[in-house]
Amino acid sequence: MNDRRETAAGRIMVCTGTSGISSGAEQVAAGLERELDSRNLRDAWHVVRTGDRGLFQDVLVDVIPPEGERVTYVKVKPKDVGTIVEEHLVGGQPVKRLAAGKRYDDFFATQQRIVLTNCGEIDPEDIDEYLDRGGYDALKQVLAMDPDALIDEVEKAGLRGRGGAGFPTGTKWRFARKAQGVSKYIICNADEGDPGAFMDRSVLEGDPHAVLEGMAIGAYAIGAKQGFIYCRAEYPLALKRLDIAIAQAKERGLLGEGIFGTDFSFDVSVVQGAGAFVCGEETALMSSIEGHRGIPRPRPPFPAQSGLWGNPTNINNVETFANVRHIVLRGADWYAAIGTESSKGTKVFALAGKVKNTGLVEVPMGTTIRQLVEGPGRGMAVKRLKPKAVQIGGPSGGCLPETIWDTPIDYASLSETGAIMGSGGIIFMDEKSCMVDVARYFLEFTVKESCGKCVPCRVGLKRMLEAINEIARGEGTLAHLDFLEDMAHTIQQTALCGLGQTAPNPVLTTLRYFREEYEAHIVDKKCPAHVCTDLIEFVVDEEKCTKCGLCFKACPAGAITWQKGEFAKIDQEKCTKCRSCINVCDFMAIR
Amino acid sequence: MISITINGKRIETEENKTVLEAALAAGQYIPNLCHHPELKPVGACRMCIVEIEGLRGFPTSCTTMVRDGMVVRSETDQLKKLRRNLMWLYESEYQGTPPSGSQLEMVQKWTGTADFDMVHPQPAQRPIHDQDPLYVRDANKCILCGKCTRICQEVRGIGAIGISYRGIASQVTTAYELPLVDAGCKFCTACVEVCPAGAFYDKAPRLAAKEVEVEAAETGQPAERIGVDWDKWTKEEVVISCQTTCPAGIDVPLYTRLIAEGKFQDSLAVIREKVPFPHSLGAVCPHPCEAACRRGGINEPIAIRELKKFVGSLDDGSWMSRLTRRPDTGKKVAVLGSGPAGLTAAWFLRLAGHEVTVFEVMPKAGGMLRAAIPRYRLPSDVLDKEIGFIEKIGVTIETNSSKMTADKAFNLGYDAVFAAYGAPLGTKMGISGEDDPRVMDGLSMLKAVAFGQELNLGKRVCVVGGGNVATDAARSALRSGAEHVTMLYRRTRSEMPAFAEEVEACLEEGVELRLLVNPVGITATSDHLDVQCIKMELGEPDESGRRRPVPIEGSEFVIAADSLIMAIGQKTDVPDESKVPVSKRGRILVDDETQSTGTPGVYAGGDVVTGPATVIEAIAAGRRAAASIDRYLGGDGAIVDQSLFVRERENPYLGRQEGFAHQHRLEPAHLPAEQRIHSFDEVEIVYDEKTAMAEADRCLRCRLRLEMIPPADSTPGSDSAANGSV
Ligand SMILES: Cc1cc2nc3c(=O)[nH]c(=O)nc-3n(C[C@H](O)[C@H](O)[C@H](O)COP(=O)(O)O)c2cc1C
Ligand code: SF4
Ligand code: FES
Repeated sequence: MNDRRETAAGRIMVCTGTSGISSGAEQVAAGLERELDSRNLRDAWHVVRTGDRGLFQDVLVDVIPPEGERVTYVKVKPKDVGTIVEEHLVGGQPVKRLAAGKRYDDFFATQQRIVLTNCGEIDPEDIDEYLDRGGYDALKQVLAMDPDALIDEVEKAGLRGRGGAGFPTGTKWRFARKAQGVSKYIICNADEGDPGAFMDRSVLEGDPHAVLEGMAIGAYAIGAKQGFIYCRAEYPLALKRLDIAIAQAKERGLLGEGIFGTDFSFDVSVVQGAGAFVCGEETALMSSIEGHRGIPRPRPPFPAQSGLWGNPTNINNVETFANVRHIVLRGADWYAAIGTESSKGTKVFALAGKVKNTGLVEVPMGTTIRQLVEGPGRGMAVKRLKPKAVQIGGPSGGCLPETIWDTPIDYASLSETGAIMGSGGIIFMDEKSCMVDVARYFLEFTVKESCGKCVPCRVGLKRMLEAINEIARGEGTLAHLDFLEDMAHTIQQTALCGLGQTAPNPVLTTLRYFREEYEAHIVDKKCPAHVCTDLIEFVVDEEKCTKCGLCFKACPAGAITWQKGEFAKIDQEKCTKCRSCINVCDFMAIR
Repeated sequence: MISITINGKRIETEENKTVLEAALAAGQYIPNLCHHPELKPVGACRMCIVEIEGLRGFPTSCTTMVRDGMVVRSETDQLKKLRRNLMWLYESEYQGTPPSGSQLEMVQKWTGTADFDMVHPQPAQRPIHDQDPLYVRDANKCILCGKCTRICQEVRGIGAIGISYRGIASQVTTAYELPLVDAGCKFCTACVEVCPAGAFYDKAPRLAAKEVEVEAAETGQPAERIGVDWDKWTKEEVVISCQTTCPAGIDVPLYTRLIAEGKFQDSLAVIREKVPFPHSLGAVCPHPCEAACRRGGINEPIAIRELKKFVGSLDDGSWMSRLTRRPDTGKKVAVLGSGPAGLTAAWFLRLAGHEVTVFEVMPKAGGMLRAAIPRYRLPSDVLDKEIGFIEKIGVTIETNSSKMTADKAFNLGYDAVFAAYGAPLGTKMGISGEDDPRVMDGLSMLKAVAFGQELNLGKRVCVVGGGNVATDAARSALRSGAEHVTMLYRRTRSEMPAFAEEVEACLEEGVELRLLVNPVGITATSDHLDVQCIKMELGEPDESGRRRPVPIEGSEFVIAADSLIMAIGQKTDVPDESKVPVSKRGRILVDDETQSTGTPGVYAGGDVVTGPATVIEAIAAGRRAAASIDRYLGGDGAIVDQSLFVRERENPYLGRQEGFAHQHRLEPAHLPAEQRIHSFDEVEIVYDEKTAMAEADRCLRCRLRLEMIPPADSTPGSDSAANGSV
């Protein structure tokens, strides 16, 4: 599609996914093009805008000269463009100052990129780049197969759904294949409503054809002719690239009637999501596609029996579909060899919180939590502060203490801990995080996102939030903890959909692993992490204070007095309890 | 059929049933709030959770289909605990207590409520929509079962309400929170019927306006929020108030709907089930039903009388073939008086197989319909035709008869007597000069007009009184050559007992209305009368609740008139030798329900019992008497309840209709006033078909609510209670 792809001798790649763009990648790419134009070098270098590679808040530029080594530049600014062109492209000398170093290498060293393999490597708006890397070969191969044999293969690979629940994909396909129906549908769930999760977005932005191909293979397996991608409207770039990808695939006959000369036909439409978290729940999602309010309904009937407009429907997550072509091309045995007994393959995680490197990583299932922090995460962000907990699985996940960070991340082990895989959000916290506050934060989210259909979720979560607020204000009793546990179990057991059923997890896991922290709030009326404002005295603990004066500089109210070599002092009259001092003090000296 | 086990009990059930349906049908109660037999299950309330062997967790029985051999438990300790906790959640957001007898209360009693007094719920404050007609929507009592919105959408096909917002803020609202009248609501109130929690409730009926005012004043509650006092009102009285208000109990909802559907003869037959005078009633009935009609709470009531007149005018007698006519019994009944009471009794008694003779002292049958109501309101041919049908089935009417009594009738061989003499005597005021022949009572004047007697009223006529006889007399006087008619009434217009439209018609026709004026004496001169009057003012309320008029001293004045008509009241005229108990006011005393006088075989009804009242009340009394007399003569009295139209379950679908709530009542056309005062031609012009159908289509179809499948299965079954599972 792009002539320079074939004619140009050198290749320059700029990661222009949502993350890259927000860090200025588009200016860098445009700057490069302008610079090349002005030097009449435009035909010698093919500038490729790729998706993100995962490292957060970075502009990555890769230069692949016709001869010589590929060089990756990090944190590239528009003003660096001239230097790179001058010194590297023209002069042949890589710009040392900008070249990726240990931080970059550490981030990728322990990853095993299957789903993300093309992300940051190809131009997602050019189907030829995908085809060059074996794109649609899997589909072609599958069309010569018996659908049941294909399903056997996926089952043997042990692929489980990446949308949260981890249901075996092959089994699900088999249900849909067996279901009787005039027409069947296949849906790709790209709603990705977990706050802080962006793995699906990155895949769609970086490698949309992989998802389309996975869907087509799934459609062939179950006997569907029509697919829908339900993508949240907040992902404009993903939506744009999907549209382009679908158009190009149709042009090449890879979607539409009689694909690869067979009698298999398959078409895909993109539906924009309404934006609510619960719309990612499969029954709510289908209701939304049908044009109704996105409200869940009880299962059974499962989508495979009665889905879109009452027809058999198969629904999978973006990442699930993106795995499929690799299983076909490299075989079930290869895939099943990655990961653990219960969980095969890799998983993409969004690392966030108090670690040095944040971003998207893909690691084999069974990687431990600690390996994630120490590997791609490069350790905790503030060395001085003790690592405390990790929240896995987003707002419906669990909060696990540092003592069990050697737990391998797979479906079975996680569920023993009380957390869930979820869609793969992972937030690391140190001792400055209060677990009562963390539970409250996630409850606030689920209270806001509850659709309101069933009483346990609609009212129960609200009552739990109120109880936690009472605790955080120092008004709780030990009986509050009984209430929280009782209500959490009631909601888990009686809520209609997964949102409600899993929403109590943050409370239950914090109660399980950090009960003494709740008790400190209740009995001692203290917040050990100095987070719950009502329980903070706002005095300087002279045993911990290092007289550094950071708090003095941070206080917007002028309530702190400090002089070099002396302890800081807080004037209670002037203090507005804004917590600015606490935020900057890494010695936990303000209590 | 397959079999499943619930709480250890094996039950047989059809295959395509949910566990909840099967359980309820077998008397195994499972608490439920969002289930309704007419609606698709949604599994929202979570109360119907059960344990099923082989299934994980606690599936909702309303969404789980039965399978052969399924083993279900609905009352394990775990389930009970979960339900108690859920009930606590409901209560924590619910303001007040569930109304007694409501489904929520029942479920609450069954499940009990957990005790979490350590925490302090902060329920949201939600709006109470009380400005809409007919019902209140109190979001603070809503448990979001969604039955109201689903019945509105799925069953009625309207979708005027839906669930808006999300999570804890969820609420049942109209689109854009529009007022109900603008949101497509058709006020069938199915939503109210299905609400388990009293969040949607009926406002007090229109007829209870006074009580509402008092209650509002006493309790300080906004009047718009006051609901029905169910100790005083039955559901029928509230929901199909037109029918329950009709003294004769005519099936108004049905005949209206049949008109809307263009089935005019069927509609007529429905009216004829209860009364033999559809057209006459259509012309003159004071329509108490319209005052009760629920549509009147939105804008104007359905023109129920006008619609009756419309189908009455089309009467082709085809209903005759549907009549149930009992074989002759050989018993004879004498009906004394051929007014609406007498003729109605005669009609039903004849249908019951008795031989009936009606004795009428006047030259033509019809009683006050004939003698008092002027022809421009009720043309002769209308009355003749309807009385003709009565004769056609074999009732004998002896006009110009001598005055009959019960004794005479028994002597003539009659087995039973119905005395329906009416109240045929007009009264005068007892003032000086009233014996002059130019001073008449209203009834005599109207009778003279009705029977075409010569009247020399002169040019200036005064009419005293404010009732319907007064307006009839005034308008008849105009049509009899008077040039100037003055009505004298001692109170104000709002106290006038005449129908408002009659007073209006008087004014249109040029009658002068002098209010707060009362004659105190008459001086007759050779060529005119000097009517001495005094001005009045309103004082304290009297026993009727109206403010008593008191004369203003020194305000006397004189009106010159050629004749004076006193239309101030009527009396009964019961022959002395009748041997029936009579009140001081000369009215026959009867048992209210049977119309029996206590003398065996002697019954009475109509104005002779009630004093001057309405045609429809007289008809109702005649109908009651017919049933009693039939029973007295050995029958079962059921003839008065015969059905002339086969009722089927109504189609519950209503569909959307833009602007429905705003459609105004369609008034019939009238002859222009200048034209009508020159003759006794009928003034009100009957609807054409299109108008009649459109007017009937304004009906809210309130009856549908009574036809909804009762949530009987939400009653805890005795079986499961007996099993000790409570
Ligand atoms: C509240 C809620 C939100 C969900 N959101 C998503 C989502 O954003 N993306 C997704 O793929 N699955 C989501 N799911 C899971 C889907 O219901 C469904 O299980 C999934 O799409 C199936 O795909 P898989 O088998 O490939 O995992 C959500 C589930 C719940 C209960
Ligand atoms: S659990 Fe929550 S989100 Fe799910 S149906 Fe119930 S109220 Fe809606
Ligand atoms: S959930 Fe079954 S009746 Fe409400």
